[in-house]
Amino acid sequence: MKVLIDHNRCQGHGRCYDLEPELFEPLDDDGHSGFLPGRSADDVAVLVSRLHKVSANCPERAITIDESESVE
Amino acid sequence: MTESPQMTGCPASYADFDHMTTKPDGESPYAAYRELRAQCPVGRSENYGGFWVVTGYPEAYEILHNPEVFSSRYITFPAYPQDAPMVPIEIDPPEHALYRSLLAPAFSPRRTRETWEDPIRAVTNQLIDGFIDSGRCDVYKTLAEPVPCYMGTTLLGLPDEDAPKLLGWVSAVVDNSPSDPETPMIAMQQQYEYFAAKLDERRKDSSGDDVLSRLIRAEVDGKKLSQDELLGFCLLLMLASIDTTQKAMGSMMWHLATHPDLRHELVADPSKIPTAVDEMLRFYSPSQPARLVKQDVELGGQQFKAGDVVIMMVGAVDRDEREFPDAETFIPDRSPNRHLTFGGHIHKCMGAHIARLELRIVIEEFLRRIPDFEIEDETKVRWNPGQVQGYISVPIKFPAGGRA
Repeated sequence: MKVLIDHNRCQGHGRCYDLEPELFEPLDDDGHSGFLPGRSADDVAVLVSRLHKVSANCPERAITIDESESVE
Repeated sequence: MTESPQMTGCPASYADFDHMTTKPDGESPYAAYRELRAQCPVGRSENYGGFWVVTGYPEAYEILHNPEVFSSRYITFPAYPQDAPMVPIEIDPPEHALYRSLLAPAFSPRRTRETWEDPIRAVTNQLIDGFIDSGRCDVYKTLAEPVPCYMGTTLLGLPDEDAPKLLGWVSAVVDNSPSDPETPMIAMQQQYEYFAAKLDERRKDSSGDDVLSRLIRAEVDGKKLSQDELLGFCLLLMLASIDTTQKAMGSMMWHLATHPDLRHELVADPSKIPTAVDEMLRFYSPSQPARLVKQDVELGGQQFKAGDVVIMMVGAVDRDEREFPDAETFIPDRSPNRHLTFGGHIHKCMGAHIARLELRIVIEEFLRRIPDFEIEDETKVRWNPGQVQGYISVPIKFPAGGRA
């Protein structure tokens, strides 16, 4: 699984780290977001559902969850 | 998802739409928005020489994400009597990014919380101390107005006691009837003179952390900002930091006063407040910005021509069923909630993190100390129409004394 953040789309709304501060953080003063791998103790199904919720809430549609590969 | 509205021509009901009209008895415009959107997401008003009105979410999203076609050169309509563009909100790419980056440090999400959470909480509690023993107040005047004033003047590095002066100018420019062009013109010139004097002070000592000092120090392509650019920043910062948040906060307090179940839910579990703040922002979007059409283009079944003006009625857009199922229902933990209250793409509101923080802290502290309150006098509730909308008179009563 991969978390892809399109930094050309991301405008720093910050919904991801507001909703899931354990999984995302602001990278810079503009508020662009970074994913924090390996932070969650959840099992994969729970983690995936948390990530999908964040992705669905991104106003710029900048976050994609790629489940095609194995857990990374 | 529900079916798209019909797109057969331009419904006549848009023809007399006037975003500046004051409705009697504090009535909000959401029923009217719903009717318009149900017919067509885009229509044409014949007021003020004619302009397009967008009430649909996908259509507004499209406009925000195409700045090459939909220019931000004039975001107000009828346009404010400015000498120069507001910076950077009325600057198009590619120059826009250069200006915008200058102020990013002042609005950083991380620094916002670290720097402002405690001061905003302290100010909010001082303000509540001022009216809690009386058991009644206009919560707009006593809380929704002063909290953003405190934040705006502090960020800009202006004396707190100048807030009433700033408020007078903001109101004259933003809320004034287009039938009286003189009042906004005078206010506009007065605020230019005020900020010119403040900028002169900073030129003598620009070592401060405040936004005006940062602007005096700033350089774009190795050059200091011109006076027009500096004043363009100041005008935007004054309007955007104070007025929009006040009206959002007024609407939020009105909603809480009239919805006891929601209040009880948030009092019982304050961890629900952050998502409830975003639902408040969706439900009562204060800003309704305009765009200038740069080239002929079709949108929402309508044919726009170069030179046309289009206003995004975000208050309507953010209640579009095509994006928000059960859109007219307030759902405190709504997900997804991709409202366009802070705009989007390159012009996304720079102060969004500060605005969310102010709204969250005000709910947290108010409900902690005054969990039960209601509207004291319906006839004195007022909705302010225009391009910055919201409740601006919210008289409430509550058991006097509350909690410390």
